[in-house]
Parts: sequence; C-alpha cells; structure tokens
Amino acid sequence: MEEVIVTTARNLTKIEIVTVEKLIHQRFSPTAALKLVVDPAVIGGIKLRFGSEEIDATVLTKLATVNQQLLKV
Amino acid sequence: MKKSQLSSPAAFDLTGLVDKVKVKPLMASVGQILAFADGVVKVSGLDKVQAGELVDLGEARFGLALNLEEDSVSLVVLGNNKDLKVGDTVKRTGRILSVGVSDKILGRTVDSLGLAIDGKGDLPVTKYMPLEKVAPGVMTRKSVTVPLQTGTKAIDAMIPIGRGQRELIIGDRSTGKTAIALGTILNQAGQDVLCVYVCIGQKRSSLAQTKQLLEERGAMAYTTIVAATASDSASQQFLAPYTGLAIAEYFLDQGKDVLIVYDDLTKHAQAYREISLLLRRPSGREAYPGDVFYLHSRLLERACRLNEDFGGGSITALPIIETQANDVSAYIPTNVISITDGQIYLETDLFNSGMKPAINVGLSVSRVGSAAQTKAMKQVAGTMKMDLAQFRELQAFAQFSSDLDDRTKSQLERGLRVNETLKQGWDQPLSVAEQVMVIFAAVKGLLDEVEQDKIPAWEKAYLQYLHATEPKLLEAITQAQKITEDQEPKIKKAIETFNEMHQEFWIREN
Repeated sequence: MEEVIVTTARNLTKIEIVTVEKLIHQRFSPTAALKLVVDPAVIGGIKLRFGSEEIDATVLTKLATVNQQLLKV
Repeated sequence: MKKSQLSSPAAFDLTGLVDKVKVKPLMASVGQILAFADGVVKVSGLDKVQAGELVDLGEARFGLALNLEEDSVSLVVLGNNKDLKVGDTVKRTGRILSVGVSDKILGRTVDSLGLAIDGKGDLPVTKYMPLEKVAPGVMTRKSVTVPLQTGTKAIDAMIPIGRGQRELIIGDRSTGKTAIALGTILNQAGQDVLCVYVCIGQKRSSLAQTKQLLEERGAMAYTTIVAATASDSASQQFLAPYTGLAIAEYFLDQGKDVLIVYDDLTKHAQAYREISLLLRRPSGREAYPGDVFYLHSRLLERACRLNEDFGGGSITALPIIETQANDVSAYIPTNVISITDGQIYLETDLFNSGMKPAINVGLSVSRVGSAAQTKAMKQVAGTMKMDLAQFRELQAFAQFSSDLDDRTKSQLERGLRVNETLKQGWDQPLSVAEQVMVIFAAVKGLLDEVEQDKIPAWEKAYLQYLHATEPKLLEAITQAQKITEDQEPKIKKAIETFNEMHQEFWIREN
C-alpha cells in the first residue's frame, strides 16, 4: 500500500486534510493513503514524504536554509 | 528600534542578505541513516542515487556514495563526522564529486574538497572540475617531445623525463624521494610549467616545512598544494590525488604544461584499503581490494600530452612509492611500476655512502623521456650511462686484485669522477647549459687532474667562473640546445684555463 507521510506542527483541520489529500492524489498517486504525523519541532509548514521523495516546506528547514546561506556570504 | 540602529550599515546589509536567501521548497530524494561506524554511514532510501554522488548529510557535511546495495547505500563521510545520529535525514545532491577551481588557486593550499586551508580566505570558483574523469583518448594525444627539466644532473642526463610522462620515484623511507620531487618543482621557475603538489598521509609538520620552503624559494607563485595529512580521514586521503589532478586538468584545458607530484601513493593505497575493508568489500593480496590496480591506473592514465588540436597542454606525473627494505616486488610497487613510463630507484646504501641523490642508475629507467632530451645533453651524456655501468663492473673486480694495468686504473679514476659529478644538493637545481658544461668536463677527462673529493667545490667555482667569463657560451647552448663543432674547443679551453687558475683542486703528488 502506497503511503504519504504528512508531517505538520499541529493537528490539521478536516478541510485542510481534504485539500492536502487532493493535492497528493494529483501529484503522487491517486491511490496513496495519508499518514498524519504531528511534530511540534517543525514549528510550522508542512512536509510530505512519499517513498524516498520528500517535499519539505517546514519552517524548521527554511530557517536552516537561511542560516546556511547567510553563513556562506 | 532606534533610528540610528536602522541606518547602521550592518543592519542594512543583513536585511538585504535575508531577502536574497532562497527558501523555496524543492522535491528531494532523501534517505535515513541506519547505522554509522568508522566513517561509513549506512543509509536506507536514496533511491536512484548514483555511484560516486555527493550526499548532503546536513550542516555542511557531505558523504560519498560508494556501495549501492539492494536495500541500502553505504557512504563514506568527507570531513568531520560529529553528531551524526541514526534516523537523521540525508539528501541527494545530484552532483558527482567535483572541485571548484580558478586561476587564483596557484599559491594556495587546499584540502581534498578544494577548500582553502591556508587561512588566506575563500577561493573564487570559475569552473567545477570532476574528480573522476575518463583519461584523454588516443586521438587527442601526442608523443612526448618536450623535456621536463628536473635540474638534477643524474636524472636529466641519464633518466630524462618528458612533459606528459609518468615517472615513478621509488625507494625506502628517507632516501630523498620527496627531495627529488621538490627539487623538480623548484626548477620549474621560469620554465612555463605549473605545479601541483599532492600530499597524502604525510605528517602535518613536514607539510608545513614543504610549504615554507616553496614559499621562501618563490615556488608557490606557480604551485598549488593539495593536502590530506595523516590526521585527515581515509576518505580525504583517498580523494586528494584526484583533486590534485582535477586542478591540473583545469590548467591543461587552457593548454598549459602542468607537473603533478603524488607524495605518496603507498599511503593512498592504504587509505583506499581502509575504506574498502570498512565497506566490507572482499580483500585480496596484502588485504588490498581487487580494484587497487585500477585505483592507480585510472589516476596515472590521465597524465598526458595533448596534440595541438586539443590545446597542446600536458600533465607530467611524478608519483612516489615508499618501499619496505628495498622490496620493489611488493604488491603496490609492482602495480605502479607497470603503469608508469619508468622509475627512479633510490637506495639506502647509496644514500648512506654519501651519494646524494641516491639514484641507482643501473635500475632506473625512463621509457619515453629520451625522445625529449635536448641534443646538447645527448651529446655529453650519450655514453655516460654505459661508462658508469662499466665502471661499476670494474670496481667490483678491482676489489679482488691489487695491481691493475694502467688502462683499467685510468678507467676507474674516470668513473669515480663522473660518479662524483652526479652528486648534487636537492635544492640546488642547475640549468641545462650548466649541467652540460659540468658533464662535458667529466666525460672528456678534464677532471682527471682534479682531486676526487674536491669535485663539488670545483663544480661550484667552475660554474661561477663560466657565468662571469663565458655568459655568451652558456646563452648559446641554452638557445640552440646543442653544442656545435666550433664550440667544443672553446669549452675545452675554458675548462683548461679555469683548471690552470685553480691549482688548489689538483691531485697532490705524494
């Protein structure tokens, strides 16, 4: 069974879940099931994981990116 | 916030910089760390990762994908491996290992990832050169025709090296292997050759010494040092020669001549053995993995001389191999001997008997360099190798019999003197013309009247004398690269006049 792991900082509302599910079915696989994970450490935003592919749009990762790019300058 | 704070330059810059940061989320191929031990990380996931790809371990750390297995990937960590945890997410970068290079890299010291370690600030990057690359094909190459002057009489006269050649320097510890390579780098000043010195598994103290020496002698102006010292990880030591070569290839692409020294490939093979054993690859002879020959052959095959259609540049490689107790038939020495176009063989016994450089002329060969030797050198050194071989044979005989006929005696005396002229300080390279003048004196018998142990002093005074009185002759030989018929008596005359003036070097009659 294909599964997409959705990581967020707080519980999603029902409307949000439906929106995410719709997008996932469009983007990855129409039959994929959602596995919701709540992890306050990501601060905000959302992270989708499908097999070994990952789309990371969490605040935690954004902050890390900002940190890394600023250190380079 | 106060107005003054807002308008301060630092605050302004920071806002501008934060605006420039790109935080757009991207689809990435990721994996999770399953296990980590001895610098090797086992990772799940990372579908479609390529062999030799860089993998982002987070916090500016990278790993190199070496083993691709059915359900996991093994990476070696490059650089520091602190704080790696099981379960950490790692990301594919899609980049095959490469090093950023620009013309500014000359005079700098970098590590095996091409990052500056000499405290002179970051290096600008104009081009990324891949570490692994297929060697230039047959159609792009040309045979060796231009000499690479090492500045050492024994090598330039008898074991000549051409640009684009691979000449192995082999010998026991402390027989002067590095000294020969460094002397060659020093001699490239004004010869239009750029140098890359790759230091693999050496002590940091000796690296610092080498760097200081090259700086003092002004050789850093055309040299880059790539350093993976003994305290760096095996993965960095494994990559260092390829990094050095990538830098050399950057200059090769500009049609330049490059000299690259690998000091030394024994340690390189050992670093690769360490990695292979940790990756649980099957081990073979002396516990080296099966592809240790390919490890060095693919490195040394990239030394080349390109033809004019491809820029006409060259990479000359001087790999160094350290043997144990003169055993050249060990695994790694035989491998590298068979790959290279000849070897310079150094011996402890010669070194201890005061013969410096301690080159065993009988066992050393250069398979392609003689095609590139200058005519002047060929003229004086043509018979030198045979003369010395005969001398050694006679010397062995002479130990048994006390009374020798005059001819044998004079042959022995001549041989002793020719041998003596081959002695040379490693940091005192000589130009071709200077070498030719000294060897000319020895092989033509003009040193027969000079006391054997005064020859080094004689040589020094003689060269000074030539520079002062016969600069035109030296210049002519440098220009024409040969000794013309009417020059020969002139040179003889000059030497005889000099000998007349300096009777202190003469043999004293008892």
